[in-house]
Amino acid sequence: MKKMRLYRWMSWVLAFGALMTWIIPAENAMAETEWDEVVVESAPVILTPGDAYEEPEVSGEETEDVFATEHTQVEQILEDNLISTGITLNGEQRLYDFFGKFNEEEQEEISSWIIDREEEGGISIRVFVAGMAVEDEKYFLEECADALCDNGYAKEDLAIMLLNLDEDNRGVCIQGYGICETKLNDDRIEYILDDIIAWFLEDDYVYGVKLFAEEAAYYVTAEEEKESVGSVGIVIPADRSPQVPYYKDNSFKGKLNRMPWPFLVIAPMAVAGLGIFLMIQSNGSKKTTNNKTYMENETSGLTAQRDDYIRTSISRTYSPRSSGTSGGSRSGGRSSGGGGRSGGGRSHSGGSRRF
Amino acid sequence: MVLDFKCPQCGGGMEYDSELGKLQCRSCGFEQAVEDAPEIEEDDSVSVEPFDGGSIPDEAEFSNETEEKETSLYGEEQEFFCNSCGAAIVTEPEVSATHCPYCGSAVAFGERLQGKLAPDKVIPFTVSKEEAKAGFRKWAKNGLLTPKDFMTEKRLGEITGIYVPFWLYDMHVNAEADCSCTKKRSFRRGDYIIHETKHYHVYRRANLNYKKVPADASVKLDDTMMDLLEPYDYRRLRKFEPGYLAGFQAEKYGVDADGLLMRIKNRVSEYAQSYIKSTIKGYSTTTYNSQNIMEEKQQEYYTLLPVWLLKYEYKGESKIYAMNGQTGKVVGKPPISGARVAKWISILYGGSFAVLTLLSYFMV
Ligand SMILES: [Zn+2]
Ligand SMILES: [Zn+2]
Repeated sequence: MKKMRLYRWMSWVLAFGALMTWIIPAENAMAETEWDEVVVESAPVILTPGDAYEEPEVSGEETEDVFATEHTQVEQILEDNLISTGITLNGEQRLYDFFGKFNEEEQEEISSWIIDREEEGGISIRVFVAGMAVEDEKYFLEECADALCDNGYAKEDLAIMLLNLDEDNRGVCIQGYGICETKLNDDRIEYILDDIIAWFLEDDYVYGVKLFAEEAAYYVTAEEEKESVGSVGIVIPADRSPQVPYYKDNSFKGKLNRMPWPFLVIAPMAVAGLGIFLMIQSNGSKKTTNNKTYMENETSGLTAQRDDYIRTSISRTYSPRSSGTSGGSRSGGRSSGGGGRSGGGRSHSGGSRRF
Repeated sequence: MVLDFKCPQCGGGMEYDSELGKLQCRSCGFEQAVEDAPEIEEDDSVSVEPFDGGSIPDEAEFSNETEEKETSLYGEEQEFFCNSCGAAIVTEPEVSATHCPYCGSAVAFGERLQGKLAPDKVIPFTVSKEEAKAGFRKWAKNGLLTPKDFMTEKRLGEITGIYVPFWLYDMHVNAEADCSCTKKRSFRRGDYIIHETKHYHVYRRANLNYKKVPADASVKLDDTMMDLLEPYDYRRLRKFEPGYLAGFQAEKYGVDADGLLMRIKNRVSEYAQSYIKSTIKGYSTTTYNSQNIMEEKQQEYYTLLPVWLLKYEYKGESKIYAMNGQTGKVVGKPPISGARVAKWISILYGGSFAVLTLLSYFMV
């Protein structure tokens, strides 16, 4: 009688599993071709004004310190420019130059350029110029993005760049929000950095900023056949443009969509197996005493202890920071680990580079 | 000598009531404090100073080769006569209290509760028979893989409240450990990762007192099962009175205090080791150079602890489930129902499959 019930359950499970394995591959076959990986091996920079640049050595600070940073400098910049309350951020401005790098004429040129690119891409593009520590860059942009979007000064689909002109920390940091998080994913941000860094190194800041806006809009609208961006006269090399229908989507959704069907069948098996294992494990009784149960606290304890330091031994292993590939396709490795989540809960892609 | 617990008012049988904490007459409801119940009368045999064997010379000689004698650990099986109905009660030798099988009145056997066999302390039952039944039922219900018909009324009807003999030991432990420890960290300097190891020499000495560590002295009951029933709440530990046994089973110890000492020494030694270990903190690695644990018995108490037992035959195997008669904790491995396992597998498989499928389908 009991056996009968067991078999009935088992056959239900098998039937359900078989049905699902039939349905799922069909659903996924579509997704799989559509979401195939694109790994662009090399990306020659055709507009490089200078030689391949060397990544400056970052001072050898211990890693722990980075996590302890409190971003006081950023808070100061935000306060000085009243960004935290959204006061200096308004609908018209595209370039926020807190560093005084660009004159009025240049600012106007850049802003109107960006407005045109925004229209092309259907996104918001903002550029900040300021000076701060490297560790603060990511946080600064997250705060700005929150302030812009919260106050309705920019769309949630936002490409945002920081030009850090602090003497010791010169660099660029780019983040993509909303649709830009996927369209302007970490890989693509690296390509943009490859291109624009060269111009900053040549001190042509206006062109560098314009190129950022240009490429951001390009990638957001990138389609299969699109090969070049006209306005600035840049030709995007053929091997850079997406050859396969789409790009690699690194977001959670994207990963889920690439979930292979055997995984869908096997993972639940593991779940069920683990669940039953845990149930059988907990079938029975647990010990409810420990080494403290019978100890009399008032009369028990340490009567002597020593912790004598003897010596320190040190060894080191060589582990270069940058990938430094020859041939100079990429000017440097990724220096800051791409995406994250802002204080306002907006997740984003990202990348940065020193120059 | 057979002790019975007669009602001073109507002469009916009295039993210990766990809720009242008193003896209560089953016929007229009269209540009586445990201390007022009949005491074990002292042996009226003449007490003498033992002979000094050394001063008495051998008067005869025998060969050493004696045939093995059948010596029972429990002593001889004995016949008692019920005070109420006069029937002969034949019990297993370790039983010190039970019901008369003929008239049902509670009886205790004085010979098995006095002298060396007199318990020092007792924790009275606080879980009544009805509460125990409910407890077993609830426990079986909570088991996700336990068959539905596991705790039937019929089976539950056979639960027995039994006072199990335990030795409680007060132990003193001196513990000492000498260790080599390290603190490790890694950090980056330019193109190198630096691994730094700081070496320490560590010493700990502790003075530890463990009070009333229990070990069951019943030969029949499984030690690990009895260990799992712990802990008991010692705030309800009482001086032993025979009245507590009225209406329950009781056993006398089958192993004396010294016979269980090794088990307790091992147990407190483990406790001391984990105590020492818990005081060595903040290191990445710890290597023991030497460790010294000295256990010493301070005192022991012969104690009866309350347990509800449920025994039954299941597929030719006799199974025992036990409940702490004070805290209600249940111990034992319930049978696993194949049907329930299959049900859970399909629920878990189907559920997680559906969730994953929906996720991948709708999140495009
Ligand atoms: Zn009465
Ligand atoms: Zn009787």
